[in-house]
Amino acid sequence: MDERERLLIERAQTDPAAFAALYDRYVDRIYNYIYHRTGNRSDAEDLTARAFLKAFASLERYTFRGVPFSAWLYRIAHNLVANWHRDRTRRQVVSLDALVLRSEDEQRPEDVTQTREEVRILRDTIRQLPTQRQRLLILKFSEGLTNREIGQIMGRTEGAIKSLYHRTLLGLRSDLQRKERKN
Amino acid sequence: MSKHYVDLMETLNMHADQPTSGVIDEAEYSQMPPEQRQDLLSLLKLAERTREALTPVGPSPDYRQRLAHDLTKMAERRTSDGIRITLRSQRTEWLRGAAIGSAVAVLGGAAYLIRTYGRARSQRASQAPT
Repeated sequence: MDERERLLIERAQTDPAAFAALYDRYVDRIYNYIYHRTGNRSDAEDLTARAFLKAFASLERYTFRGVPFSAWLYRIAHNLVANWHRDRTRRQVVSLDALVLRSEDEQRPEDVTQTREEVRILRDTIRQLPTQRQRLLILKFSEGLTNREIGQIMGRTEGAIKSLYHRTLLGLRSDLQRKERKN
Repeated sequence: MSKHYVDLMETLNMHADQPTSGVIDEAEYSQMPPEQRQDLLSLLKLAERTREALTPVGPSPDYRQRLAHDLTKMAERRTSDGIRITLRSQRTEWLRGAAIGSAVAVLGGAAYLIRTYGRARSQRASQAPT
């Protein structure tokens, strides 16, 4: 944790209004993480708000024990997303197809290098990976974190993340191949 | 763990950790046995596609501002609650001090009365005819 961040946290712990600086620093990253885990903007907005409210409410209890503040925030976000997935599975309100279509509607210009259909299938397949593998891909490719930083968030060693990344790509490739064969 | 497995894992991780990507130099892996090379290139290409599929997405400015506003309001409420708690605790301290002061005064008064009463009784006893 850098010195500036440490000061920001200490200030926010005694002066609630100073939390705004931490919010500004992390809101985009947390939103991005949640967006890729849920696949749609409305749930990403809802869960991002909840993540920051939770962080705000429990900031007094945060103490630095080798895990950076960002890792603490990602863990809050991860737990909320996990609950969201659990509730969603229980209620079955939104089908997976609807979810994919919604994310497809939000097609971004960056996607032009891959065809719409390819991107849709790939995102869909990523979201069906085991949670730890999804987290790893999002943190690595979307958040641009190093294996060490990902390890701190996921509570694993750098070596374990390296190995998990390899296994994740192998798993993703075979899932995609299986889908191709089906079609 | 086989050497091929470790090499593959290291190469994939090195590639993924590059800040900018998009280019896979196939010639770089020309020394590898064809089967391993094909395997590696297929995984590198998949990594690139995954990177593109997971392009960062930001919240809308409206949402960002709204949430910041809500958090600020909450912080203001918490600050004012904190002041109320302080005031309440100051008042409690004041009341506690007043109660202790009153108790000391009552006990002091009682001690004075007991002492006076005791003296008067001993004086009466000494003046009494034997």
